[in-house]
Amino acid sequence: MTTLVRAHGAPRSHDSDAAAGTEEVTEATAAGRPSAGARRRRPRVPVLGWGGLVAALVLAVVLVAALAPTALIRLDPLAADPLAALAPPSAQHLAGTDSLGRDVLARIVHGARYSLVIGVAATALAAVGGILLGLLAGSGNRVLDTVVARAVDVLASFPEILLALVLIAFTGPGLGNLVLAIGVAGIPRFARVVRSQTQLVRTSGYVEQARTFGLGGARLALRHVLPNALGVVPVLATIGLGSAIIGAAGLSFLGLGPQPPAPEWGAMLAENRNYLRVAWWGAVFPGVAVVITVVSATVLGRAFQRHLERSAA
Amino acid sequence: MSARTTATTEPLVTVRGLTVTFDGAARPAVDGLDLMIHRGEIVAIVGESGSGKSVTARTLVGLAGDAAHVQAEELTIDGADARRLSDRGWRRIRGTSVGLVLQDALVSLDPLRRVGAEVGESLRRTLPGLLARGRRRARAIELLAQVGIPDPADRVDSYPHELSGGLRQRALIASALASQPALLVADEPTTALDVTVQAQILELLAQLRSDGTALLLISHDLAVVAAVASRILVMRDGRVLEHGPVEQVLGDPQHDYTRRLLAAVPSAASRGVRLSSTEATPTAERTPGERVVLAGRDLVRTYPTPGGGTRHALAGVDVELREGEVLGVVGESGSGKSTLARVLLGLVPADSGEVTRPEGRLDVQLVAQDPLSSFDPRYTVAEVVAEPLRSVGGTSRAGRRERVAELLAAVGLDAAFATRHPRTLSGGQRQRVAIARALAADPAVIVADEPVSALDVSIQAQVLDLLLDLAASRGLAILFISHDLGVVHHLADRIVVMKDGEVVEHGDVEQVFHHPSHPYTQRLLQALPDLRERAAV
Repeated sequence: MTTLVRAHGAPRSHDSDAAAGTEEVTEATAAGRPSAGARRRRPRVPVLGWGGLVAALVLAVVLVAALAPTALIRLDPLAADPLAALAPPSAQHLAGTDSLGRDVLARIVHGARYSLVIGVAATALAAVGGILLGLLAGSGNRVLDTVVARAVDVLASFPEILLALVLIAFTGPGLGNLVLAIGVAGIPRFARVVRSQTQLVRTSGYVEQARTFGLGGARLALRHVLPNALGVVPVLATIGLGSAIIGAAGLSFLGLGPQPPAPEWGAMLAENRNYLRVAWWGAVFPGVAVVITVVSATVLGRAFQRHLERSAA
Repeated sequence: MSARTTATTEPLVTVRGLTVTFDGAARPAVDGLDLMIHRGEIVAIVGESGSGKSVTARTLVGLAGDAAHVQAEELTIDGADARRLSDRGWRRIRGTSVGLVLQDALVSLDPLRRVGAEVGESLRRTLPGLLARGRRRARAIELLAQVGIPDPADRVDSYPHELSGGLRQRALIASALASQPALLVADEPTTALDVTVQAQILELLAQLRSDGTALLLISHDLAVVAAVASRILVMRDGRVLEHGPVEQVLGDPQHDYTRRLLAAVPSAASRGVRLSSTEATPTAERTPGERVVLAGRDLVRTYPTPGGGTRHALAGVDVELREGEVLGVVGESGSGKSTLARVLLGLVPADSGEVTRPEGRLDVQLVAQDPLSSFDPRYTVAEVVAEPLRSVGGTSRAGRRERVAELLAAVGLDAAFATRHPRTLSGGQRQRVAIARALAADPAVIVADEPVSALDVSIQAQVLDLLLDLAASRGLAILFISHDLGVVHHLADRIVVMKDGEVVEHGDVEQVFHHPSHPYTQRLLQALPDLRERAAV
């Protein structure tokens, strides 16, 4: 009875090798826990993949621009210089100047703060609202579930940007209202996912098992239901950040966001689109900034998602 | 008993040196397999998971998949060289020479199509065109009748979900038979079925054999194989370890692995003997007391049915578990045995009746069928095992760590497992972790709901031995729920037989197994395929 018993007795032989094989897959992707298996593998791929890494770097630059724009560029985004108006990109103005002679690059760098603040704040609002509604709906109370889920359905039946427009029509333009509008419009996607996750976790084997340990109510919710149900939120939030930034730029483009002379990217697009034929740089560079930021957020979100799915498998 | 059907001249299937390797796999899934099947013969391949038995079956129907590289010195099916078959060629073979029956008919039958359409699908080759619709239907009804489906003319219009598990499996066999294949490949055809239904399907397979069909039966269950097969191949890690007539392989196994497999099968004969050993080592002595530690009186629990009615999962059940005893609860699916466990654990309230539990809230612990789903996916082994301790509080971090190491040792796991993640463990190791967790708070009672039914027989043997050891060394009482009568007969002191939410019979295990008084119990026991019957040469 040699091999059979060794397969499950204390000193492992081939059995632990087989298990280590599976471990290799999961641990290679788990941050900060390099295992022997991970080192043995091909050239090391970063945790979130190469795409995720590049996206994270881009977002890091945007973050620096938002926190300390003066560290990246000395020029004043608001300083008008009529003599240098509509100057093409040059050594002095790397991205040219706009119709008032303001440096476009400086405005883009300083504008990162608006996009990021609006994006993050709106996403946070959507996440918090969505999580609360989702948990409420998924908590097991059927009346509550019906009410909340239908309300979310109604909210979700409007296109996000249209819903935001309607809200701004009520509250008026401005930074705070823009955040509110985009945040509320983003609630349904969080609420729906969190609701179904909560229901899944609530009926799972491990929650049932925990109840046999006498756990119940708040402790059960805090220890098992919340952490497992909310595992998807970071992914949703990162992807949501991109669409929030697009929404913010779009509404600012329509003049519903921060008012001039604030260097918001969408507003810059709107200001400079009339000069597109003579000074393409004024509108193209802010547009490129929006695209790169949004694509990065989405790529990072997807990379997150893949990582989670792989480590869950 | 000479169930060996005389082989007619030319073999239907000849396989020599079959090797199947999957992309990226270190070793071949099937390694140099030789196999010969004659008409009117049932050849069985037995083995545990990963032995390559299913891959062999799929290769014979050309469904091994794109990642598989099939090599063979000879692979002849019904006169055709299968090595050179194109996809189209395989389709023709599958349509005429070979039929495949898979384990789970609910997954294998299209849920949106009526049974008649499913069976008729395979008839399109012989009876093509719109005009033959009526004849296809008539033939489908004939086939359903042939596999023993009652009222075939009505059932032909049923959807798969409207049929019971046994009828579904029959319908699946009927659709495989539609093209009158010379060879039927059945991959675990009875594994998902209750024992009485399994007996009917085995009877059907035996009848097909006497009608001249050749069968390749894939199974992990030696008793099933013993009931119908004429020859057995024992596979492990892709290799055939032993090959011969059933009587010889079961009665006088030559290979060590076969002997261990046979020893691991729990049954009446294995009572009091450790399963994970080929020598007859006795299990630890247990002394059940008289004190009742867990009891349910007149338990009733109903569930609403989709039609607006109610179903009695428990219809007045009395059950008593005494100190240090193993009480087996047996019954087929839907008998209410899992509901009984949940009510006794306090996970679902009873509609009426009374549950008497020990004082401490951790005194009754659960070991579930699927350990992995009972672990919080974020937890390491140590966190899983320590959870009951953490939930009562009053233990320090260091104290818990020490206790976890102790518990892991008690279930035969190295302390190094503490930091592993349950996902990276094998099925048997996971179940050991679940048992360690159940022991964490020193319970008086463990409720084990089908704890070994997802495990291979050799792993099952180790887990059953472990449970009996623990019951003896800790004076544990175990409520052991299982559909497997052999397992229950092996380890239980007393037994409760459930059917449709009621206890139809209870009493001492030997008493109930040898002198069953209720007709249902008698039927259950009769349906049980007996390994020893054919092993005796």
